[in-house]
This record gives sequence, C-alpha cells and structure tokens, in this order.
Amino acid sequence: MAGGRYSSADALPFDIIHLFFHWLTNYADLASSALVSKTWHQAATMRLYNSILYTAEMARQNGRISSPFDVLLTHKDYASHVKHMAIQSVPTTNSKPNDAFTINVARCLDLCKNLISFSCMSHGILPSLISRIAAGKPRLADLKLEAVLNRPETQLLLGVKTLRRLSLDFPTRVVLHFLPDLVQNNAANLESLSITNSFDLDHEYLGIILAHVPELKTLRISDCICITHVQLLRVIAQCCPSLTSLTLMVYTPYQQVDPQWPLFLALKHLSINVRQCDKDAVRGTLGAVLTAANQAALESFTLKLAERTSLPSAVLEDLIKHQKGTLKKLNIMNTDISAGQLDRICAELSELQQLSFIMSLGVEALAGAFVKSKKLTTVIDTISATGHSGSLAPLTSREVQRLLKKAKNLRTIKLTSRTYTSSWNKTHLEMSLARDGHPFIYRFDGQTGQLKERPSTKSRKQNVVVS
Amino acid sequence: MSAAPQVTLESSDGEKFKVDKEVAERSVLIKNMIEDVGESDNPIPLPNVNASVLKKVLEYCEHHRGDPLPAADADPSNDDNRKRATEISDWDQKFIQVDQEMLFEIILAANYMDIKPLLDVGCKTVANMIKGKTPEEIRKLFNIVNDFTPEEEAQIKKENEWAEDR
Repeated sequence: MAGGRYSSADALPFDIIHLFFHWLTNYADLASSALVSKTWHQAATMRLYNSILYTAEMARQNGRISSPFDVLLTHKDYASHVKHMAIQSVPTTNSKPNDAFTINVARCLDLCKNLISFSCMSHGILPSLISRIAAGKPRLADLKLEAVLNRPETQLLLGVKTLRRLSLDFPTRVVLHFLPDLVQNNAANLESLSITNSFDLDHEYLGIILAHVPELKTLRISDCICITHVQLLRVIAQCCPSLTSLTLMVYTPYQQVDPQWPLFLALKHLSINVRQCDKDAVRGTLGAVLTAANQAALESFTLKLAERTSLPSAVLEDLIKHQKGTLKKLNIMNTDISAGQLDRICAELSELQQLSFIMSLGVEALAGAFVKSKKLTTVIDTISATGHSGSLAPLTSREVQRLLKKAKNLRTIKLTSRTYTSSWNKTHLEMSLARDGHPFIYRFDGQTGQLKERPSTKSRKQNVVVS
Repeated sequence: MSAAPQVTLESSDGEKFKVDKEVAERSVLIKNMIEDVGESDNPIPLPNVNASVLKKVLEYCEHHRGDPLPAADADPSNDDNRKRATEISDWDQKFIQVDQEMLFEIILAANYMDIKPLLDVGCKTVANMIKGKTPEEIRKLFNIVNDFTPEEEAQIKKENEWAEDR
C-alpha cells in the first residue's frame, strides 16, 4: 500500500510518535530515535530525560562527555520532563565529590520541579542536595537515600510530606531519631518503607515508627542486626497487619513456633535472606517464617541462602502444600535444586509463571520438568559471579534452542548476560537473543538453527559473538 | 434464545458493521456515545476509520470481548519505572503482523476510538521495531526524512552521548 496516507511515519501526529517511546526502556534506543528527525527528537527527548540515571561509568567519564546534568542546564526546558533521578555514583576530586558536578546537580534539582522519584546512593553529595529535594517538589513520591546525614540536614528532610515510598540505607542515629516524625509526616500516602544496614534500630523503636503507618503495604528490613526475625514478625503483626510484601533477613537461631506465632493473612510477596549457615537451623527457621505465611495466598516467594546448599525439601513441601494455587513467581538464589525438586515445582505449583534458580541441570532434565508446567513462561538462571563451579556451564544458544523446542510454553530464558525470547508461528520457532540488556537482537530459525537476522551495524561494532 | 444487543457502526467510506454491543464497547469512545445518546437503530458514524481498518479493529475487539479491564501490576518487584512489559501475547502478535501502513492505521484508529490495550499493542510493536537500530536504519524502515542540518545532528549526538552504549 505504498504511497497511502501513512506510508511514512512522518505523517503521524506527534502525540502518537510520543507513545512509541513510552515502550522503549533502553537509553541507546532513545538516543538513536532522537537523531532520526526533528519531530522524533522532540518526542524521544521527552522520554530520554524522563529518567536520569547517573552511573559509576558516567562518573568515570566526567569531563570527557556531557553529563545529562550539563544538558539540562543548557536546555532548561528539558527539566520539566524529568520525573525520575537516580545518582549511583559521583565523580570525585581528591576523594571528595567534584565541586562543579555537585553544583550542577543542585542547580538541576532546582529546575526539576516535576520530580517523582529521587535516589542518591552516594552519600558524599547528598548533604549538598538535601535542601533542593526537600522543597518545591510537590510530586515527590519516592525517596531512596544512603542516609548519612547530620541533624540540620535531617530536619530539612522533614519538609517532605508527599512520600509513598521511603528507603534508607545506612541511616545515621540522628536520621533514626527523626524517622518517626518523617514517617508521620508522610503517613497519609506512605505505602512502602525500607530500612537497611542500621546497627541501632531495635524492635521497640521500629514499633514506634510503624505505629504511624498501620496501612503500610511493603516493608523491607535487612541487615539491621539489633532485630531478630521473630521480633520483627511480632512487631509487624501488631502494627501493620495488612502488609502485602515483606523482605526480611534471618540470622538468629531457630525459635520454636508457639501458639501466639504471628500470622500474615494479607501477605502476597515474601522474600527471605538467610544469613545463618547451619543446615538444621536454616531448615527450622525457614519453616517457622513460612508458618507465618501459610494462611496467606503468596504470589511471589524469594529465598536467598548464605552458603550455596541444596533446597531443604521441607521448604518446598511447605510451599506446595500451602501456596500451590497462588504462587506465580519463585526465586531461589544460591540454592541448588535437584531434578526431582524441579519436577515437583513445575508439576505442583500450577500458577507458576516465573522461576529463578541455578540452572545447573542438563537440557533434558530442564525440558522434562518445564513441560509439566502449564503457565511457566520465564526462567532465569541465578548463577552469580562464582560461576557454575563443579556443575554444568551456562546453556549455549544451541541448548537454549533445544530447550525452547521441547518446552513450548517458555517465552523468555534469562542467562547471566544473555536473554532469549521465543515466539511460535504455527510449527515454526523464532528465537531472539539480546546481550547484557542491550538490544543486540539476533533472530534464529528454530527449526534449522540458521541465523535469520543479524544485529544492526551499530551493534555489530560491539563485536558480539553468538556461541 | 434472546439475541445479545447489537449496534451498527459506519466506517468513513460508508460501510456498515453490525456487532454485539459488548464488542463495540471495547471502544471507550463508542461506549460513551451509547451512554450519552442512548441506544438507537441509527448507525454510529466513525468518520476517521475506513472499512478495512474498522474490520481489523473489530476483529481485535471480538477476540478480547471478555477481557477484564487492564489493571496495574501490583507486584512490588516490578517497581522499576523504566521497565515496562513490552511483551505481546501470541494472539495479539499474530493479529498485528500487518503491513506498516495498516499498523499505523490501526494505531490511529485505536487512539481515536480509545481502545487502550490495542493502542498499546500497536505502539509496543513499533517500539520493538526500533530496538537496536541506528538512526539511519530507523529512517529507512519508517520512510522518514532527515530534516536536521549536519551541525544540528552533531550537536544532538554530542549532547546525548551519555545515553549511548547503555
């Protein structure tokens, strides 16, 4: 239909072009789109500057390439697009945050009045920014800080009253001191609270904080060594009975389940990070924590063990017994699953859609289990940098192909640096591969294994080799 | 057997389509029109949608007639605001395998008729086509004219360098 009304995307209205970029999440794709034409530049820029993520890599390149903050100060009209800003790292001079960079970020923050989320995990720069965050940001809903702040800085923070999510890492004592006030100031909207790496927070004080937010939906308390998991569960049961998502760390020995053991009926997402190593203690403790969730209808469960070990069968049986009709996501980290256990997981957890585990079984065993699942579409290999020591190497592209041909329900297989997606066209399998989150898309014919489409010239420069 | 209530839609080129009210009401525009003027035997005119596009749109509405309204994903592990579900269901994927002009026509019709899930499928499809391509490849694919001067192009490239290779 060449030559028709819409044979060129130039004929599309701006509002529609703008919608395309809503679905692009990769910065490189947005940067490419911005270079297509003036209209595309305008639309892609709105999206590109919607989220500013400043990484360690960018900090290393400081001075050599423009930072997004430099661009925002040149084009002040872009600042209204900025909804999310995350600073993961800062360039330094003599081990201190670079002054010029700090001033630029502070000036940008003044301009970004539509900011919805702000994250700063580099505490050196935070004190210089806190006054800019605390005022003139009527939409600020999400704050994530490495909260190494002194008293005047923390008092400034109390000016923020619109938060829905608050996350504090390494909070100083003075931050903890003012935390009940901060939580109270935001109680009307606050639905998620995370406190990590505090060596001062105890259960009584947490109770004082949580008393302000009985409707809290999400709580994450991790690496706070003055609270045991038992104390934590009791405080939550008392203060926030309608909690739907809980992340906790377990490091103390097993404690017997008693008749007053707290139960969480509303819980939907549970994540447990186990720091103890004794196998019997791990089994006992996990059993006890899971008891608290047995009458809930869990949709996701995440388990991370301190030492790589096999999955205690009691934990699996507990999940199958109580959560088989609701569990959609199961993430098992640093834990080996046997072929038999994988079979049970796939056959019994009838709602399971996503499974993360150490994929150290052969293709036949994996496929044999995956075909038993009705709804499983996504599997993720959680092997860490330690590698598949003593077990099989990560799957190759050929093995993934064999797996996808057998387990036809699977749509996504994520390995450490490669993501495969598949689609079936009648009898025909098409598989795409992207590397390291970059869209180096290769397309294979699933029947013949032939490469059908190579990545674009831009990606080829990266010297990507498909195994 | 009592027949399901039906409505008649009229395309820009005058073709009439009689469909179940439930199917037509996947379009918020039509739903509101029916609510505003009450049910009548007069066809509902859709002056921005031609017959071939309307036929395709109605095929989508028919397939998705019983779908619940799209709900926000409540899973907190999906909190990352940049990560959006770009996956398209198998049926939708086959449905949207059309030539580029029809794809744009469907997107425009979904926008005009206010059928959010169909608009999303169309825009996701275009987004997936953009992924991994250079500016020149995108221009070629969508038949877009480069209206930058070389200086403007160099300037934008320099400014957005932070976003490349990420």
